Amino acid sequence: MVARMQYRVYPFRNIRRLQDEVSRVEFPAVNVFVNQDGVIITAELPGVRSEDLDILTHRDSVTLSGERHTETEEAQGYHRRERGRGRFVRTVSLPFVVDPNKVAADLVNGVLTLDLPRAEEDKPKRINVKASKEAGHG
Amino acid sequence: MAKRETTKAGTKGESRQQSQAALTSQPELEGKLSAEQDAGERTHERPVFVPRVDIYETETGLVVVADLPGVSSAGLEVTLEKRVLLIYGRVEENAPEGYSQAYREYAVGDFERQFTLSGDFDINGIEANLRHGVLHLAIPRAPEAAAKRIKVTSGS
Repeated sequence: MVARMQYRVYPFRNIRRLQDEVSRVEFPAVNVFVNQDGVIITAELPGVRSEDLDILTHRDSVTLSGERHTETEEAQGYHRRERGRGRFVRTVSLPFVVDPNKVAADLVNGVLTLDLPRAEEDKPKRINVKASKEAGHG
Repeated sequence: MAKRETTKAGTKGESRQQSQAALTSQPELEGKLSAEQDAGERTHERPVFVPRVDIYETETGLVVVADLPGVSSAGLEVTLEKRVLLIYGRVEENAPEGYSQAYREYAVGDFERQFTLSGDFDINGIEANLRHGVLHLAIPRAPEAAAKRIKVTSGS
């Protein structure tokens, strides 16, 4: 019943699907901000509740996955249907290893802000060069 | 009087209708759509996007669902005037301080879109709610206006 209704709304569903595959832009789109202490990733996830969002970090990559629900029982026919729906998975590689215990995720008004601090052992270490007295040419 | 008003709205709305015609074509499936700017000047320079929407009929009226990521209820403006429904959502730039942008897939900007509704709707019965960056607008149809017969008196 539902399938038939969708078909009626979208007679060119297969063409749309083909178009979708050709001109695919990954969802969600991300912006990445970096400094020497970590990475901040922001992503627009309208309609995704925090319980529908799964964030996994592994060494130097982070994976966002979840589902967008747009189905509704009360719809009797669509005039427009443009919003994306269904499951999504997106993996972003980071320039360094992150500390998984310090990752903070914040989802406000459909915008995710993901704070990924760099792991302490991955940070560059400054090596102090000691001038040895014996080696001095004085 | 009323007639003059509608014709005025009609001529005014012509350029608007053109941009609406562009909107009626199905947008690409992913990515943000930049809004076509009309002649109106803006007070701050920032991109404006067309939000993706679902519009469907229910038993009692019409429901408009719009993706407005980053819009808070304070920054949202919904107006219905002469059957023109306007949605405007202001988005605050939230680039983190002390960081430089390494990679950009989307731009931050406001959202704006308008629709011309066909049929009469009950303006006072509109329910709007904004949750997780998605606006739900339930617009009930007006109860059918009682037909009014106008008596024509002949002047003879």
